[in-house]
Amino acid sequence: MAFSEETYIKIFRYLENDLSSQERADFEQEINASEELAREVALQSEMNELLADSPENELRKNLDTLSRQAQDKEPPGGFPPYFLWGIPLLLAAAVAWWLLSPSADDANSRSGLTDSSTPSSTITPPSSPSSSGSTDDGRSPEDSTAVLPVDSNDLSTNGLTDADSPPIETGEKEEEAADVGLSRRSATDGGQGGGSTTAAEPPKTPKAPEESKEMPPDSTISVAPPDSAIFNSEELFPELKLDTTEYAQIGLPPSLEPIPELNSLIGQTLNFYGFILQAEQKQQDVQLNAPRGPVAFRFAGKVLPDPDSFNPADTSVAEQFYGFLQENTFELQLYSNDEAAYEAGEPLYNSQPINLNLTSNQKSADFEVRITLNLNPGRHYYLIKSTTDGKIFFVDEFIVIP
Amino acid sequence: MNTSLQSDYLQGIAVNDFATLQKIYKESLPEVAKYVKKNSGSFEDAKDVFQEGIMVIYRKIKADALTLTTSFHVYLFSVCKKIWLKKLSRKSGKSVPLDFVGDFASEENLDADITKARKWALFNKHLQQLAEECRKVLKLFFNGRSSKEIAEEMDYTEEYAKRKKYKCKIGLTKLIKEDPEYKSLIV
Repeated sequence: MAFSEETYIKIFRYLENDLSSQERADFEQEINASEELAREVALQSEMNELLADSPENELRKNLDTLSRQAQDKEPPGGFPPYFLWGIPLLLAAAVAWWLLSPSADDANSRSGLTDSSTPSSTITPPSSPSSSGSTDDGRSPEDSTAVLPVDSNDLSTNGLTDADSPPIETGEKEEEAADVGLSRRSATDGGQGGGSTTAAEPPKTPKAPEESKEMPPDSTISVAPPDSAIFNSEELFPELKLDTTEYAQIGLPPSLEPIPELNSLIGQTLNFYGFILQAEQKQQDVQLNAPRGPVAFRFAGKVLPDPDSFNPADTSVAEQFYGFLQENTFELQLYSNDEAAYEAGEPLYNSQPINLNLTSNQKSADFEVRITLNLNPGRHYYLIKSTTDGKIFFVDEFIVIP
Repeated sequence: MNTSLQSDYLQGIAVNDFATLQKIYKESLPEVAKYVKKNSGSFEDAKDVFQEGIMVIYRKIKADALTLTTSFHVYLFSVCKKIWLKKLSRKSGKSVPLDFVGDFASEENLDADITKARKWALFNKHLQQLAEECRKVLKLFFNGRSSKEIAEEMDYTEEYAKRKKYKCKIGLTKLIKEDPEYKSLIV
């Protein structure tokens, strides 16, 4: 049961001893008569108690810091990651044996395979930066199809199997997660907890892109058992581009470190008083032509009543939606991955209130934000926030590639 | 059991000594993580459980309600185990026999402490999500400052400070109630 603002204010005044004796006595009668109200009073009282600055909260802060620093030293459960490498190798060996066996010709004729089309190992090395072509999100096609050994334990940490985890936005995010074999969240988390696997044969010195063309293909992507040498991932940044799976293996350069609080909200459908935001055109990762350069930022979407919050038969939805649009305004904020700036509420860019244009059927309101900004390379976040109470309505991220 | 060492751990938690906490993390978290991961959890789950476990112990120390009859690490492990089993039972909707937890923690009623730790985490998570201004106003309010004092601090009129405080708290309440974790805490 949702309480009116008036009731909430009465609860607050009651807890603050701000009611007259008569008002207090009347309100206590109401509390005694309503279990819901009594529960709400208890909740508000607990909030007051638990959110006060206290030694307990200071301890919690230290524990948060230590938790962020903690790395999983346990060997992953289940099959070791290198077991997964074995599957394609065994398959490749089986195919080779089949093709080279005395009946290979018969086999080829049965399957229609020729030598040139015989599949090799499914472990596809990444291309060098000079490889031609790229996908829509800026990754090279080779990168997006690279098969990395996936740590089953890492998969469990991405929350996909956690019943308590927030629902992941359907479509784009899931496809993206499938592309890299991990969710974006787990990939970024891997920067903090990625001690379990590191890249093998790291380059001893920074390699220029030209040099990387001559690197043995496997050397940039193959994953060795834990405790192999450590990459200087900053140096590899230009070469690795956007393959977050690889970052998960070797650790993130500082400009790509995530802001955990914001990353935890990405992909969630955040309900704002019964209304939701659906992104239609998200900002894609962009490549700069200069060390710091103009980025054409675009974000478009629509706001609409949350189907889970309103009964379809409720004829007042349109009216409530109109009221919602009248009473609430939203702004877009853009942050780099500077956590301190985010915590201080100092965005790189803060829009004017966004124009929400009610569609002709009055079932949603469209918006579009287009701006050109000079941005440095690295991870960036954009949020849609209520200008009324600061609640975050939507969060997504994009990466500016040097 | 080295009693002096055990009391060092408790004292370290009681006074929020970072070095002691660091030591506890280093020595005990791997075991807890191993257990959680073996029982359908992740390392992230294990870290949450570990934090809650330490908070439970902290409250017990403060309430003078903790006497160790075993080593600190065994006790912490059994507390964490109980927390994780409770979480699992909530996720699966099935009750987990808590006597499985072991001799140490099952003797005590940790439920209230665990719930309190989880509520703190939930409330605080959403407080941090509020805009800077709302967060400041509510922090002042939660720390017992009057509307007049909030107005002075924030350069508001007293009336506006009062309204802002109410509005921000209603916003925070809605955020908390929309969190799936809230339902599992209330039921």
